[in-house]
Amino acid sequence: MIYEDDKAAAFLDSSFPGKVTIIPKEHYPIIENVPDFVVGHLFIIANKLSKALFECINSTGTNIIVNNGITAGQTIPHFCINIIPRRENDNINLQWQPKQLSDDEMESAELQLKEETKNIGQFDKEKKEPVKLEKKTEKIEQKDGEENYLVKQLRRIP
Amino acid sequence: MEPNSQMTPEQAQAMQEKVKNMSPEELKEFQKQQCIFCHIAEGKMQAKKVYEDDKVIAVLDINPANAGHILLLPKEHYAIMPLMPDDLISYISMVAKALSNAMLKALKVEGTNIFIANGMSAGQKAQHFMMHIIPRNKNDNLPLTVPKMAVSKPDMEKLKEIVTKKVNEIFGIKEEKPKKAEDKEKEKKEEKKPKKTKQKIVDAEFKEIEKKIKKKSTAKKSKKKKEEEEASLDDITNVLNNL
Repeated sequence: MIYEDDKAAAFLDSSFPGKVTIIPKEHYPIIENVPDFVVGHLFIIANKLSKALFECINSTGTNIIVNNGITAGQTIPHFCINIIPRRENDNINLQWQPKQLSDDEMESAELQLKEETKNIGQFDKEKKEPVKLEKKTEKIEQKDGEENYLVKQLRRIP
Repeated sequence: MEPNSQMTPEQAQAMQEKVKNMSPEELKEFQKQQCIFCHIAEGKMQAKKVYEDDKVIAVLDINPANAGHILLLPKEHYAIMPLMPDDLISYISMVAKALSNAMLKALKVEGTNIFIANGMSAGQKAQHFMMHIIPRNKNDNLPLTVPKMAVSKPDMEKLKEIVTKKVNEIFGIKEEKPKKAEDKEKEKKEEKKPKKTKQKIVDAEFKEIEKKIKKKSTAKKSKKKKEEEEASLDDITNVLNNL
């Protein structure tokens, strides 16, 4: 392990030289389950660790990849952020071939996405504490010489 | 930045000299003027907008990997990720999570990739930081899987040392030096010594207390004996008188 705090842990992966994996300490399978403030914290750590890789391994670039789902290449059912150090002419190709889509396809994708993004509201920037319900009990003050009104009512009942 | 093909070599040279003499603020403004994505964020250039607020904007990529490929970028101009402030990185990643969720629901895909390229050798094409959110389908054969290359154990250990040192520098964590075997033995000896001396002191105190107790008890006994002797002498005198 190369870094640890209360929310996250980072370690070197032996599948590639210099590759760093960052995971949240609590178990979340995909990014949709991770709370907003944890996502923000993990990406801040990813930024700082990629700075470290720039400086100590003399890499000229870094790639930060999140695989969300089996079709996206996720191998472990625990959310993780991968940082890969890159150099010029390192024979790694992460570049996709751009597709030529028709205008109709682009427009339909745009409209479908716009409908869903309307629901994007506020983000949970801090951990929400559960709301504590206070039990309120009304104290009935009893005056000397007078009977409690509740007791009086009972006597009225025939 | 891609060189403008319409410029002559002389004009390109003149431009390069101009850029060298600029201050960082002037450079930033110059980059902004040349940056397509800043024009898109300001509304000067057309693009298919999917989400917008005061800090970030999300548009569809015109050269997509799959239908629905989103580019998420901050409205302010930052060339690379290390230049961005922490709160903006936190905010943009929260938006990325929400957009990935929206993509799963709207396009009914089974997976998404979030991809960031930092630097030319990593595949960064534009001088403006952006996050790619790419929808994935089965067997679409996109080369977005993490590459694999075996690493030997000694190399791993070296890497770990170097990287942890740098990480601790950046985060300001102080390293605890591992204790040597000699130091550990010394500590053990020191721990044993005070215990012995303490026990000795305690034992000595006990002995003194025992002595005191004995003295008291002997003193009491001697008093009693004297009293008894005195009593017996009195009896004898009484008997003698009575005779």
